[in-house]
This record gives sequence, C-alpha cells and structure tokens, in this order.
Amino acid sequence: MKRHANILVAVLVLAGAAAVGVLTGPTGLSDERQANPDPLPETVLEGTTPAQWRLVWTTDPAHEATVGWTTAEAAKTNAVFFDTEPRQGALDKYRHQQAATATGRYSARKPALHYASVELKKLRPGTTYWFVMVSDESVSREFHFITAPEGDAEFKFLYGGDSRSYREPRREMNRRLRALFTQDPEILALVHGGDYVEDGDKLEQWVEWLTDHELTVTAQGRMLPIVPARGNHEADSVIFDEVFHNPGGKGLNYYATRLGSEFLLVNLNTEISAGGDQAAFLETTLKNHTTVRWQCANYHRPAYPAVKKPGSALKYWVPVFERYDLDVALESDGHTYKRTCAIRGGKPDATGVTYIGEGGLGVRQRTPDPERWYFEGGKVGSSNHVQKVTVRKDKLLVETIAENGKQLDTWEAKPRPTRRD
Amino acid sequence: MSAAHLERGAAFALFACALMVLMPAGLGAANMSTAQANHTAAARGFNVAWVAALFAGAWLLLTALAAWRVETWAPALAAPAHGARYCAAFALAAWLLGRARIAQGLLVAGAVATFAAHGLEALLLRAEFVDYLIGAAWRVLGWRVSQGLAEGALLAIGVMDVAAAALLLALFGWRKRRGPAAIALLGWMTFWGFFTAAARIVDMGWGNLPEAMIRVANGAVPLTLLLHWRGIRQSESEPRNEPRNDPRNDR
Ligand SMILES: [Fe+2]
Repeated sequence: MKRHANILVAVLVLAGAAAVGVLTGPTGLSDERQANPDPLPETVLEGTTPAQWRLVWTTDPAHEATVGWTTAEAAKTNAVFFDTEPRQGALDKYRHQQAATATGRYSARKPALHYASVELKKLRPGTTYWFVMVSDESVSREFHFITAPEGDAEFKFLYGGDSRSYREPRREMNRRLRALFTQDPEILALVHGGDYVEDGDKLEQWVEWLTDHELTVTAQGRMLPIVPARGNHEADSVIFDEVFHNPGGKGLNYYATRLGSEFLLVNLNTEISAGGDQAAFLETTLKNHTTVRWQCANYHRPAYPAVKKPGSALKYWVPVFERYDLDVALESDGHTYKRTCAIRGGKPDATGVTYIGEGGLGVRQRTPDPERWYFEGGKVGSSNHVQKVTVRKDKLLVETIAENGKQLDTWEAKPRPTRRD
Repeated sequence: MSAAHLERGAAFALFACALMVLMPAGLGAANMSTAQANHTAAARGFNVAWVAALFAGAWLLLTALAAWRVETWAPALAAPAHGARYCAAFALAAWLLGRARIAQGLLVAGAVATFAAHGLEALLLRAEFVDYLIGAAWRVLGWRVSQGLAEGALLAIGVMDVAAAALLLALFGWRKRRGPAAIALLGWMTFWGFFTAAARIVDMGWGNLPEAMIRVANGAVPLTLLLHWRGIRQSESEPRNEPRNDPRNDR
C-alpha cells in the first residue's frame, strides 16, 4: 500500500510540475483563418494532358526559363511551342518550338506520374512569351510569361516560404499571390524559400502542391515564375529536382539569380554543407559582384531565427554577407513573419544586414520570440504572409502582406555608399 | 496547447524527476549505496526515485520518437541516435529496482544504438557533421579544410563508430567479454562520446552548452559500463572467500 502511495506522490509531483510549466509557457498562437469557398478549376491529371505546370527561373531569367509539367501517362514527345505573340494554341502558328530537355517518371512508387521539363534559351529580356505545352496529342491552354529585364531596371518580386502541410491556407495564400500578381504587373516572379511539402519524398504531396500552384496563374494566363530554394522538408528529396529541373545542379541547388544589371539574388541550400563548397561559392559570387547595387540572399534555415535555433548560415554565411555588405537576407522555416534590425558582428549596427521572412505561404503559424535582441527595432508576428520586394534605383522596399491583403510591416533601404565601380 | 507549452511542461517535470532521484539517494546515502539496498528500499516502498527515472526515460524516448517523426533527413536514424539518453534513464530505473543485469543490457543497447546511428549518419555524409569538421579544423587548427577532405574524414569516422557499436554488441554477447579488449573499447567510446558532445561547444561557443549537456549520456553510458565491467573483473580476480552475491553480478 505504502508503495502505491509513493507512486501516487511521485505522479502528483510530476503532474504538478508539468502543469506549472504549461501554465507559465508563452501564449498567443494565432489560429484564426478563413477558408475561401470558391474552388478554381484545376487541370485534371489524365492521359497526357499537361497539368501542374511551373515556370522555373534560375541563373539568367532575362534569357532563360524552364517550363515543367506533369502527365498521368508517359508521352512519347513533350515540347513547348512559343512565340512573342499570342497564337491561341494554333500549333502551326508558333514560330519556335523546343523539345523536352528532361522527361521521366517521378521517383516514387506511387502514384505513377511523369514529368517533362523544357529549357527555353536565348530568350529576349523583358519580353512577353506566349506558349503552350504539348505532350503527344494533348495541348495545354495558352499561357504567357515575361522574361526578366536587362540593364538598370526597376521591378518587383514576391518572396515567401513554407507552403507545406495545410492545403486550404496554402490555396488561400496562392490566391493572394495571384491577386498581387494581377494588380501589379511589375511583379516578375516568386522567390520561394523552401518547405513546399511536408515530406519531399512523397509524390502525392507534390501533386497537391503543384495543383495548388496552378492558382497563381492570372485570369489572363500569365504564369508566375518561381525561383526555388530547398527546405529541410525537401531534405535530400529527388522529386524536388524533378519538379524544378535541378536548379543550381542536382542535389546542390545553390545558384545566383541576376534580375536586371543591379540586382543579385544568391539562392543557397541549408540542407547540405554550408561551410564547404557553398561558402566558397558565396564568397566568389559576392566578390565578383561588388558593384551591383542591390544584393540579396535566399535560403531556408535562418541565421537569425524568430522561433528555433540558428542554422549553419549564422556561422558560415553571415560573415560573408557582412564582408560584402549584403542588403537583405530572406529566410524561412520559422512559420512566423519577422524583420530583424540591421546586424553586423552579432550586434545591432545600422550598416549591417537585415534578415526578413520566416515563412508563411500557408503553413500553420508558430509563436515567435519577440524578446530576442535582434528584434529590437524590428518586427515579429504570427500570420500567414508574403513579402513584396520593390526594387528601385534609389531604394529597396520590402512589404510584408497578410493573406487578407493587409500590410503587416514595411522596411526600406537606400543604396549602400560602398557599392562603387 | 502548443509544442512550446508541452516542452516547458516536460522540462519542469524532468527537473522534478532529477530532484526526486537525488533526494532519497542523498537522504539515505549510507544504505542506498548498493543496488541491493535500493532493492530492499524499493520493496519497502521507501523511495520514488525509480518512478522518476522511469518517467525521465519515457519522456526521453518520446522526444526520440518525436525526432523520428519530425526529422526530414534520414529520419529512421533519429530515434536510435538518442538511444544512450533514454536507455540511461531506463537503466537507472532498473538499477534502482535492483535489476542490475537488465540495467547493464540497457546500457549496452543504448551505446550500440547511438554509435551505430551516428556512424551511419556519418557514412551518409550528414551536412551538419561535414560543417562541424570544417568549423573545428578552422577554429582549433586554423586550417581551411575542403569539403572533399572533410567528407573523407567523416567516412572514416562513420566506419569507426559502426565498428565500435558492432564490437560492443559482440563482446556483450560473448561470455568472456570483460577482457582488456572490452575495457579498451569502452575507454575509446567514453572518450569519443564526451569528445563529440564537447565539440558542440567548440563549434558554437558556450551558448551551445545545453546541446552538449544533452549528449553527455553518449560518453557517460560507455563510462558506466566501463566502471561496472572493471569492477566485475576486479571482484573476480580477488580471492573468493565470500559468497558471490555481489548485486552488480546479478544474473
Ligand atoms: Fe523548414
């Protein structure tokens, strides 16, 4: 009996201690969201009908783009027919056509689906291209996209990460992306910070993601190009490379994107060694572009996180960012929105680098820790969101926009005096 | 209730566990010094330490299983990698209940699981490990090590870890297992377990102390086995003028 009493005492003490811990824990998890009841038509995956299309930009989006899609059955031929004028899908009218660069079955036991990727090269900068995807006899509707500008151009792009796990909020965010993209034709592309799906090895989750991605196309058929980075939920997923056509090289996935002559975006992969070849790549890239006015990085695990512990970016990349005066680093993974103060040498410093993002393209939001020193003068909060980045000759503007379109935060930078020829 | 709440609740409960394990041990230090005394004490309903140890083990196992669910890279290795932690707590509970033989088995299982899992992660070139090597070489030796070289070293470490796990398992299953070879192997595993735990501090500074603390079990488990087995060797080499009822030999 006494033994039972003692066990009871032990259990009570433990339960009491746990209760104290729970009750004194942080509060304020935002969980309200509205389901939008209007489902948009999505392409049905059957036969060789091109579905789940994506337009991928990597190093030179003024001259190159990759169109990728999925078919239920393997097609013998896959190609993109394209032109600088609309041809309403009349195949004989398109002046250019390009056969698939890569085709195959996605690396998954089920479902059995097939991908086709077509690299379009030697495109003209700042030009609208009209195109259709053709798999055997099946022809998609006509879409169009605009290549990146050249020269000292002004433009906008969207940035966001963490679109995994929750379908309805993700679809809601995709509708927000489409609304922004429709209202503001200056927007060039979506820069994605990684974590598309919960498990990057599960094709059925990619199928859902890609289907939802169709919602980003405007009513007029303008496709939103995507600049992808790998997240930890893609880990070493092969499907990631099949969907996005090996951006930056298969399994490596780090590369620099040039938008106009005065904007550099370095996309990095936090899922492979940060301190080895990638650190060398980052150093070389920034060193070779010291005169480019605006410099920006995009990667998944944050160096200055709002929720978790810092990733290897802090140790291996931040010193390089600071050495070359990066303007802003876009980070995801935390499931909050955040903007740090400008940081140099682990301290607030007006000449330092600002870290913005943390991921809110539909994933359930977490509670950030606003007490961290680098949020003094910055901003954190819990809400699904996307960042709209405006690139001007005299300023760089980053607006954080909630899924209902409300502006949550803005930040502005002036060109650094250190950038000179 | 968010994950942060749960984590904090568990942290408080674990703290209470530690207090409950330590308190009776401190109060009755004289007669609690052997497993036999504990056995009697537990039977008399004297202490609640083993409940606390069991709870700690259960929580650590739960976090290991959570890691397996959450980890996106080689998730199957996450739970065994935590083996030394939860097995150590379970072994403590078994020992407090006077089941020294079971405790020993749990310690071996924990060390084998952790070393094998870490070895396999190294052989798969876990990015974090590659960066540890590059960072340590730079910070400690001032060498700029290439990624290729670091990966080569990591493969060697992986082979070493898996071999250590396999050897320990073989020695444990072998009757005459407690020879100098076993002691040497455990000595190496103790060093390596503590060394890699401490490497977290070398890598990221003292802010990483909790990261190192949670890995103390990786060295402490082989160390406990080492002391235990050496104790048995010594008691076996002593003249047998007393009956062999040493609880540490409880079979
Ligand atoms: Fe993530």
